[in-house]
Amino acid sequence: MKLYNRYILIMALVFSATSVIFAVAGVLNLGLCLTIYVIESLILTELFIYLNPKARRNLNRVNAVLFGLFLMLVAVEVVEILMGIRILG
Amino acid sequence: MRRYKNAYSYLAVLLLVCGAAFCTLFYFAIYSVPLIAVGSSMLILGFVCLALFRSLPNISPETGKLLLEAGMENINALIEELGLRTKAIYLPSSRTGSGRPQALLPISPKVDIEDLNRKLPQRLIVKFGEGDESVGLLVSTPGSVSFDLLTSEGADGAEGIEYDLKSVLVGVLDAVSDVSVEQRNDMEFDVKLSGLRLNHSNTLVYQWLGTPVASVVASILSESLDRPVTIIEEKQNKRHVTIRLGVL
Repeated sequence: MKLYNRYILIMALVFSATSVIFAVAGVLNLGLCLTIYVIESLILTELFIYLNPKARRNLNRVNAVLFGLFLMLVAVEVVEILMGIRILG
Repeated sequence: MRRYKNAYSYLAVLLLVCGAAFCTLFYFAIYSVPLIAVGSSMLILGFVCLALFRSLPNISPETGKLLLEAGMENINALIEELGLRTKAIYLPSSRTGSGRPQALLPISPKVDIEDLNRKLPQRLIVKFGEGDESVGLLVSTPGSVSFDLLTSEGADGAEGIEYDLKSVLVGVLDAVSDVSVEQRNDMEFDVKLSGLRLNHSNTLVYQWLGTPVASVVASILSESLDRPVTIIEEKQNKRHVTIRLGVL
């Protein structure tokens, strides 16, 4: 349980720090924010290599969804550039 | 375990509800990108908590401890009844009939290592050599069961053993915080365990078989090297447990 708690705590701290940086830097691109959260989540899961196989399997499912979201955000960015419109603000 | 499960499920639901509310409110009401980002990070954390909640074991650590102690007390009774006074030799799965690493408790301390090169039958009392004293008890230990928890083969040498030990003791069993392995020479390894969370009673069986964590360490080392292993020494202080293992 300690490893799970450490994983959630570190992820919450990383997300909080990133949110503060976004606010301070005045980032106004929502797609960029989401992409960074997704990348942070994927990296953290890979760093916790000793999580038990069942937890890793479940987290891989979450990561697959997040990776899908990441690809969708990239696609949205491409559409925004090609068509010259703003979709995510 | 139920209290942990509840904590994770409550946290997951709370984060998902708050995250969804944050995203909706700040997207449609005032369109604040940093606050929508906070909402989306809460949603990601919520899904992670949900994933971890679904992977928690169904039985409590207390139940696991109860089963462990019952099993160890039976082995203890056998050792006391037979008057065995020799350190256990941990054998890899390739040398046991059960297909799992097991511990051999010989009746005599004089064991010819050549006798252990063949596969022993799947019996409690085994004759492993030609001599009359080449008889012992072949028992399953917590290490035998932990063999099933090994998911992949790590790298060779001390690094590979450390990886296997960490994945079982830290990742799956959650029995220690950290493991480090140092190879002293070809025949001896030092394994240092930090943040031990598995307490045990001081019974005779642990003197000859090693404590449950030492048993797991010895079984995994024996399996990784595919050679018999014995626990030479086990030292415990407030912060660490150091286990010295000898390869036979």
